[in-house]
Parts: sequence; structure tokens; C-alpha cells
Amino acid sequence: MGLERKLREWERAGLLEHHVVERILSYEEERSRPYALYVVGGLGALAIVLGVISVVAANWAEIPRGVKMAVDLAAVAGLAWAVHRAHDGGKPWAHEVLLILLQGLVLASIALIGQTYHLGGKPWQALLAWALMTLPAMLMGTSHASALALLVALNAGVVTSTVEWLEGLRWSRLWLLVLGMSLLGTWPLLHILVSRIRALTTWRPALAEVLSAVGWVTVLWGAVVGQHLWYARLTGDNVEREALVLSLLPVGVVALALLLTPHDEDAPSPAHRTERALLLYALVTGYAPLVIPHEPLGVLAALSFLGFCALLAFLAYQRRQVWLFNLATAGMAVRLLGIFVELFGSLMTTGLGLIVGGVVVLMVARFWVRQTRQFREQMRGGVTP
Amino acid sequence: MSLLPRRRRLLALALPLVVLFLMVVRAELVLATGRHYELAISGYDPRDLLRGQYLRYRIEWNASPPPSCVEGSEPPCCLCVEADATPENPRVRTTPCERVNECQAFIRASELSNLEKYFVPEDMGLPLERAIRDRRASIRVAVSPRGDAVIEELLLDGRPWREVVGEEPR
Repeated sequence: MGLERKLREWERAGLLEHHVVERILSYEEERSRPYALYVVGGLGALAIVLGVISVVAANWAEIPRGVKMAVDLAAVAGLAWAVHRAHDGGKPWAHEVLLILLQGLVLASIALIGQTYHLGGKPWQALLAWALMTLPAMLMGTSHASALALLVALNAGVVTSTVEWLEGLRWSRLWLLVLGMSLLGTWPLLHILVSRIRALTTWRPALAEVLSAVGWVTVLWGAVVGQHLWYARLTGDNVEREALVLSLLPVGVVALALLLTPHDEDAPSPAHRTERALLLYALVTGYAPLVIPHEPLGVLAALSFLGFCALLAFLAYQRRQVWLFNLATAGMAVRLLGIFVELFGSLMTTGLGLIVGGVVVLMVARFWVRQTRQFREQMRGGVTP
Repeated sequence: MSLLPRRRRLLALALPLVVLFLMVVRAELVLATGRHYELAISGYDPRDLLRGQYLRYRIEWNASPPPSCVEGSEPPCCLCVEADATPENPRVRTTPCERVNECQAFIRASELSNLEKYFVPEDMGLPLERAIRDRRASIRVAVSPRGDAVIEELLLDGRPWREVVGEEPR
């Protein structure tokens, strides 16, 4: 066993007393689980489940529809009951897993009923019905996983039905585009805005966190994609650009509301200010290449992205989120190297580009190592940056 | 764990079950209480009837001119089954939905597209496609008094398709 070998090594090095090593080993032995048995047992159970599914699938056409429906509804009822029992039994892990399974089974049941009775219907109807009928149950979840499942269902239902609604509108192309782009731009911002509602953060903190994370990831990812459109040639005026400019008004209003909305915490911190700056920066640099007619401007794309990474790294530093700091600095390093690769031409410029790029990357790496060490020390000492 | 009181929790968990149950009941009610008609069908393209797991076809309505009722038209239109129509290949016409009381039965426009595709088990696709090309194909439809329509069976030479395909060598 690896742990025992390591403990003996530490004992020989004089780091641990013999009796401490013995106590740790006996504690670990008591807590040890028969993992091999679990794996074999799990494989056996999986084989049985797959076998049952295959037998059912092979005879699917022969099974009367009444039996199919009865078994399906019984499975939904059984799973709902199991969720209830897991809750009453104080098993949060089982409760959350069963809840997500129930949500999935409900969607599968809608599809099954549709196929059995040849009901047809459109995907948005099925997705919206699924999202709405499982919403109250999913709101019982307390984990991030069930919150994400809820959000996936809700977004699938709302987005597909909104697209259907837009397609049915008899508006001019310009105003349809304005409405579509406004919804697209405000939707992730609304996620962040809703995540700050105090009632939600106290009642369902995990859901508020997931809402915020989904909103932020979408905004930031959108900004990165937008920034890289400086590489494209987007010249001349067209209806799409006109619609985009008009859609900036609702996006700006929601963004302003977001910038002015206080965080749940009472005192504004430097991190909140940086967060607002990041949001503003992401929106401006993400939309700019789409709004301003331009020839390919690779340097601007790179600079926008570097500024974005620097702000993100600074926010991570203020929040002491090492993983985010690592991600942002890695992004900077890769982008810096990319700039020099873009300059490749003759053997001379290629060589110089690689040398300068390598030096810059090494400097970023040195800064990164120093800062992460500082982070760890600060976290240990509880010092606020 | 959940902060909902026990009763509300049970209601929340029962909601999807109740809705799914009602979907099944609604479809079964249409099948059990609706009027039944047999409608001839033909493929858009005889070489490729299958789209994914659905068999796509066109209903050959017994109407002159052919019905032109589509979803979203103003005023809402319905397909009216004429008062003297027979269950097999019934005579139909397009009519405003507010004037369906003179019809034997009617089908709402939103239901019509649902009648033109049929879910097929994966391994049955090709034999069924072949059988439809060689035989007289039709669908048996149940129509509720509210204008809902549910496909009851796909028929080949007037017999359920499973019986016919089952007899043929694969």
C-alpha cells in the first residue's frame, strides 16, 4: 500500500513517531473499503441493467403500449418516491442524484409518450413542458449539480420557445434581428442579475452561484470570441450591423443595472470594483469589432485579449482564487506566444519572434510562480491582498 | 436539504407524474372515444421515405380541391370531415374552425402535420419502406370531438403493418 510505504519512510526519516504511524495505519485499515468488490459488484449490476435494457429493446415493438406506459409511469413514481425517502432519510447525496435522474426520466417519458401515440409536436413544446413540470421538484435541490440541471432544462425550454416565438413574428427583418440580438446579449447578463437577488442567495445559494457562473462564463466567452473578430474583415454597413447597434441599448440598460446592483455582501470590496471593470471591458471589447467597420486588425485582437486576461488575473488575485489566476496567466502566456507565431515570415523574423516570445513567456511564468507562492503565504497567514 | 414543507415537496414531486399521466389519458381518450377514419398515404419520394426514425408520407385526402389548411392561418382553419363521409377515405374540405358544427368530425390545423409522420422501430425501417412501396398503405386515425387527432395504426393492404412485415422475408 502506498500510504504505508510513505509513512514508514517518514518514520525512518524521524518525521513521525512509531506509535503515530501505527495509529494512522490502524485508522486507515478500519476506514478502508473493499473497492475491488465494489468494482466487481458494480460491473455485475451494470451487466444486468444493460441486459434488461437489451431484452426490452429487442422486444420493444411487441410490448403493448399499455404495458410500456404503465412501466414508465411506475418508474417515474418510484423515482419520485425515492427522492422523497432520501430527503426524509437525511441522505443529501442520494437526494440530489435521484432528483437529477428523475428530471432525465421525465424528459425520456415525454419522448416515449410522443413516440407511442405518434403525437408529433415540436421540440420546443416538449422542452418547455419538461422544464416547467420539473421546475418545482428541481427547486428542492441544494447542490450545484442539481442547480445546473435545472438551469439546463429551463434554458433549453425558454430558448427554444423564444426562437419559435421570434419565427412567428411578422416584423421587418431589422426589428426581428434587433429583438433577437437584444435577447441574446441580455440573457447571460440577466443570469448574473437574478443570481444577486437576496431572496435567492439565501434560499438557494447553490442555484444563485450556478446562475452567476453560467452568466459570467457566457459573457466572458462571448467577449473572447468577439475580440477575435478583429481578425476578420468586417466593412460596410448592413442590416445586421444596424440591428446590432440598436440592440446595444437594451444590453447597455441591463449591463448598467448589473453595474449598479450591489453585491450580496454589505461592504463594496476592491474585487467588486474589478469585477465591474471586467464586465464593462468584456462588453466594450466584445462588441467593438462587430460595431466598428474594420479591415483585419490582429494586433487589436491580441491586445484586447491580453487586457482581458490581465483584468481577470487581477480579479483572481484579489479574490485569492489560485485556479483562476493560473488560467488567466496561462491564457496570457499562450496569447503572447501566439503573437510572435503570427509574425512568422522569413527565417530571421521567425527566429527573432520565437526568442522574444520565449523570453516573454518565461517572464510571465516567473511572475506566475512568484504570485502563486505569495497567494499561498497570504492564505496561510489570512492576509487580505 | 430542501427547505420546502413536506406537503409541498410531495406536490412538487407528483407534478411531473400527474402531467405525464394526463398526457397518456388524453391520447387514450382520443383513441377510445374518437371517430375512426382510414386515410390513404403515399411517400413524398418513393426512394426515401425514412427521415431518421420517422416514416414521412403525404395523406391523399379525398377532397377537391385538395385541402389547404395550415397552422397559423387567419381565421384559424380546420379540416372538416363531410357529414356524409365514410370511415374509409372520408371526404374532407377546409373550413373556418368556427363553422365546424356542420361536420361529422374536424381536425385542427395544428394536428395535421402530426399525422404525416410515423415513428418506426430502428430495425423495421427498411422492411417497412419496401412493404409500403409494394402495397396499398394507409393510416387509421382517431379524431376527438375537440379536433385532436391520433394515429392508431399504420396499415398495409388494410392490415396492421407489423403483421404484414412479419410475414415477409427480411
